Amino acid sequence: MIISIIINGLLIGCIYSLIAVGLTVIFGVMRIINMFHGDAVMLGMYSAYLLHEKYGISPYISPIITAPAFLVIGLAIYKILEPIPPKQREMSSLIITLGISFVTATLAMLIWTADYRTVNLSYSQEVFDIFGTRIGYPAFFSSAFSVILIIAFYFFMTKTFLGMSIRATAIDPVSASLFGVNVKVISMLTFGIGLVLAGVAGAILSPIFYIYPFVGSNFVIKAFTIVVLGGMGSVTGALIGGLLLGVSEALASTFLEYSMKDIIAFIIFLSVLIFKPSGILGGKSRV
Amino acid sequence: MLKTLMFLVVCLSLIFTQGVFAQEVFKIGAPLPMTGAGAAFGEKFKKAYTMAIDEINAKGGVNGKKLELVIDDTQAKPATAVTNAKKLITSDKVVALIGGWSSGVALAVAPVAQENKTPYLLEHPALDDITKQTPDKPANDYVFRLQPTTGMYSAALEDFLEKVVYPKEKKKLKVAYLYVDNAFGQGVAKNGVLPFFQSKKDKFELVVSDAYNEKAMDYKPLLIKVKNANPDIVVLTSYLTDGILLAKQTKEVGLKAKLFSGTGAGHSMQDIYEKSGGAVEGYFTSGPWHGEINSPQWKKWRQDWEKKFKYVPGEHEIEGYVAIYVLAEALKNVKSKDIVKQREELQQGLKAVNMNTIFGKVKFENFDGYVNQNRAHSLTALAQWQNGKLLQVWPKSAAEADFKY
Repeated sequence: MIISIIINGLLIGCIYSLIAVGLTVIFGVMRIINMFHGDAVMLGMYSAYLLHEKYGISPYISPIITAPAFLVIGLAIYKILEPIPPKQREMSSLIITLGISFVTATLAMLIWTADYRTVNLSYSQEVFDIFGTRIGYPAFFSSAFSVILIIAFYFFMTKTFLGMSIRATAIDPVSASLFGVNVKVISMLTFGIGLVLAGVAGAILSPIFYIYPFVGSNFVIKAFTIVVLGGMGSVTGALIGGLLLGVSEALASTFLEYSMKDIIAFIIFLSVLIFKPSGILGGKSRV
Repeated sequence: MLKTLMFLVVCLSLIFTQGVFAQEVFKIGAPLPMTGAGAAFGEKFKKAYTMAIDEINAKGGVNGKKLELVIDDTQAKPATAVTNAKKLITSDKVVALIGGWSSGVALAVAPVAQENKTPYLLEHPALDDITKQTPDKPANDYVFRLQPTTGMYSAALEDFLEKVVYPKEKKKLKVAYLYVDNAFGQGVAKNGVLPFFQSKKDKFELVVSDAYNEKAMDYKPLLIKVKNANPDIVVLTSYLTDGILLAKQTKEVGLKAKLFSGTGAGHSMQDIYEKSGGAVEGYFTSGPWHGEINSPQWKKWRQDWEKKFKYVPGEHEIEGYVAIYVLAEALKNVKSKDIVKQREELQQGLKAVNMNTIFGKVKFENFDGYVNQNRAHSLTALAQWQNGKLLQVWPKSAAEADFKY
């Protein structure tokens, strides 16, 4: 039984990680606390749902179509945040993005109503067996795609010129600009890429979760927890943080009294903050 | 001098006419959500009350007086509802308050009614505490409730388990119970399901009993734990979204049992069938029923309703409709002219009510800590999802179809 529970924790942890990766990049590079992130996930879910309902496009493929839209949304929101002086970034961005978040969720409710929706695939209820653990195909695909995307994103950040520019900007914007990196353009692109990741996460999440206009709030706090756990701006940190949260939640929900379940995640969270404030992988290498 | 006289005349005539009006009608005050999130429900109750009041008035009213409905919009906010209730009692001078739709509103209105000694009849808010006496909260003896509380939702299921399932299996049955951790889930668990299984330890063994977070994204670890306990019966108290995920993930982890049952709320909504991709097929759900649906009076009422409002009535409509008839029955006891005395007489009248309605038997009693609560355990029914339709299957007298077990 314990193996099944750990496997399930790892599966959901992969998805937590993908949601957190976009957030950690935005946070790490620009010190922008993006409360809109959950709503970007929500928009990703709705776009996947609509494309699946209307044209039968699988939610695992539709992000290819919708990604440019999220890039544009990201650039537009960045334009709103750009004039804020760097010193006031964290507080002001929190309030502004929270406002955008409310407006977006309310608009979503006006357009799509408050009804709950789900994406039911033809293989929604099919399962396979591994180490005596039954895994549903949608759950497996969602987690597998998440991991593939995170790994691909890791290589993008470490091996491409654009990725390296983003990291350079995160570590020291002044030096980066002295070495010919256009900090303004890079910041803008980073925000866009962060939102694309959120949108993709939403699409990947849609077959295994339900969709409604305020669903974003379910993810935002988890994502921030993971970001702080893993170290702000660290991609591998987000992956490890997500898996850690997924497994600890799974174990806690099985073996502990209900009242203790939420405490576990926060005990881990607080211990990391106290003993290693920069996060598990923070401080040393920022990626 | 003339001015003073004129003033006197105006004053006297005002007092006089007010006195006359007060004698001609019985005003019933309804704090209802007419705008905002609960507006759709406020509209249902308004229709139900109006239909019953029109029928009673057409037959001459009660004791020669007509009934009049005064609605005040609560926007489903408890704080607003307190103001609504005070206004209805002091300025509209209603003889009774009725309804409120949500438990939050009823919980806020009940003390106002009690303080002003104005009878308050509930027909939908289900939280047990509203009519239950607790050590730190004395009984509200002006508050009456005719429908089942959340603690009674599981009554039909309990009856079914004892009368059908246990005799058939002829062995001690293992039960797993999962409930959502909020006021509704706690209400059903602590006042209904858990006390039942704990008191029937010879027949049922509770192998898992766990509350869960409504917003969790993954229930599989919890369901694996349930699966490992190998239960015969799985009982769930859920809203819609958690109910959908639980049903889908139950299939995914391969949890099988002889019987799955919800306790109303999410499991009684059409959405759960569609949104879970039919994963709840065969599930039972136990909750407030829609009345004595096989009786001719009920069938006539439903026909009238459909003719008048062009849609099929559900639990809200029947509750609101019957509540007015219960008030009318109690109002027969009201003979005074003074509003304060009228309210007292109405309270006495309600205490004496003992009638059969199309919703079922109504008699307000004090039992198990409840005060002025209808013994509404028998006003619950067990329904089952059969081919995408939710059909009432138990008790036999109110069954639309045979249960599949």
